[in-house]
Amino acid sequence: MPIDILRCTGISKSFASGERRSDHLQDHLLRNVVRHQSASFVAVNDVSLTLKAGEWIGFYGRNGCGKTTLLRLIAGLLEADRGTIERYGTISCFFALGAGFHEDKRATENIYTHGLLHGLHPSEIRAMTESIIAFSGTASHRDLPFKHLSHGMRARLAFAAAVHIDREIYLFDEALAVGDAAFQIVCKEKFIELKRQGKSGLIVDHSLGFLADICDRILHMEGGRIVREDRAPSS
Amino acid sequence: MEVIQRQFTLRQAVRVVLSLGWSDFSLKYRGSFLGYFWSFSVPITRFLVIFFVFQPFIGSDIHEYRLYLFLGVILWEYFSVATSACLALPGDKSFIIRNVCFPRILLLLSIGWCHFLIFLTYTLIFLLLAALSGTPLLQGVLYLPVLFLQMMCLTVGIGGGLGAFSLRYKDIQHLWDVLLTILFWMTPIMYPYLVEAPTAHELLFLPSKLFPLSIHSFLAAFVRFQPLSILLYDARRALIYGAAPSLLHIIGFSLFCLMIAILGIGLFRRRSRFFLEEY
Repeated sequence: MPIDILRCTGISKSFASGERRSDHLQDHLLRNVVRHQSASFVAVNDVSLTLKAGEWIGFYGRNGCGKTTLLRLIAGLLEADRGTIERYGTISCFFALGAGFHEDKRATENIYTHGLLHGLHPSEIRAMTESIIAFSGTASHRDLPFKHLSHGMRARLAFAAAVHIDREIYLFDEALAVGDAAFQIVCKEKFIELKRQGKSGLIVDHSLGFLADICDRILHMEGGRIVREDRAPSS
Repeated sequence: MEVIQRQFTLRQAVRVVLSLGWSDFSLKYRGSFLGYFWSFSVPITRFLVIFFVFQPFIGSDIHEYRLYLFLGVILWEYFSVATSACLALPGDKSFIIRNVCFPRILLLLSIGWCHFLIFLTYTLIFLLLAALSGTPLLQGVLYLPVLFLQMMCLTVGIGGGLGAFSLRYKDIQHLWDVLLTILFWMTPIMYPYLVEAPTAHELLFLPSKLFPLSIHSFLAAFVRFQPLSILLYDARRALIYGAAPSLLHIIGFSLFCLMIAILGIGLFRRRSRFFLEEY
């Protein structure tokens, strides 16, 4: 029986909303400003889930239902207000908004920094650089600053960098949102390859069809909660 | 038990700090005609302006005034630019902070390293000027590692403390600019630093010096004991006048700088967990 590689128990996350406290230090020092927050928005509400080794879970729901926040909590980018996240494997993540690449650095330099930030040795990064460039189809732009790449190329490069890092768990937030049809096919193939290698994954996407093709389970989210679970026919 | 990511070893952390710092350093002037030499424009202009304005009034009271002033200017330049860069870090590096999970503290240290590289080149120019003016440099050069360590600790500590709150309070950059303007004139960069006795000894008699309370006595005490003044005084003693501070003084002041660094870095580390929510 596959072992648990990730376990979330009752995790919740809220953000301040409504009328905010003053952003200025001068107001706190010179005026008697109200210090308590007037309202908070619950982005993730008492979510529990378990990811087995080799399992892929998809998250589906409307914008603002808490999918990306949940992924960021699992990735360790955000801290949960309540609950525990137990990770029994290393993580590589891809967020649609960017991959932590510097606008003025070249593709190869960004790949190098990305690898270092994931704890890789320079020799490991050098060994995978050409493969990442080839996979992303950005060879013609390899020596140009990142800002000179189109949005699609940037996303492809970021995606390629994320999937080339050998990890047990992969997190993808709307990986297919920016790429063209050809790249979407390449992405799908890569997911299937990772799955075949026994890796685990969590995918956030707005296409139920795509999630059904890749994932063993699809969790539907609404108002920060998991409201339904669909199992893939093959699982 | 919670297992978080692949833990960074010390070697990996050092690699990240050196690499990020170096890439910031090299990106700063990439593609510009003057390249790195452009970075000299600010301290050299500041030095020349102050020199020609103040030299007629106090130049004769201070031995080797050119070197005295140049050392003051480059140390100030390092402190002001590096602390401001640390303060701006959460904004400037948001593209990494938002997307990659790793110890944020490495970003702060990389800023310290990047600006240290810049300061190193300023120091080389200073040493060249000192050699040309016939100043004996051996003892001064031996003191350099102590100066670098104290300077880095002080700068990263203060910068880290400021950076920790820069997203929470949007006007910190503005307030820090105001404070830097005040601090510039409250640091003996271009005027003499009055020392009557060793720092520890003078500190013991500080209360008696402050009374009767007046703005003048307060400002005089501030200029005498603020850390930048002490750092500058020690650096000038060692590098220009060939009289390094006592071992006790070096240890005491180094521990003070280290304490500032620990506080600032600790604060940054603690607060950096909430950066993503504060964007």
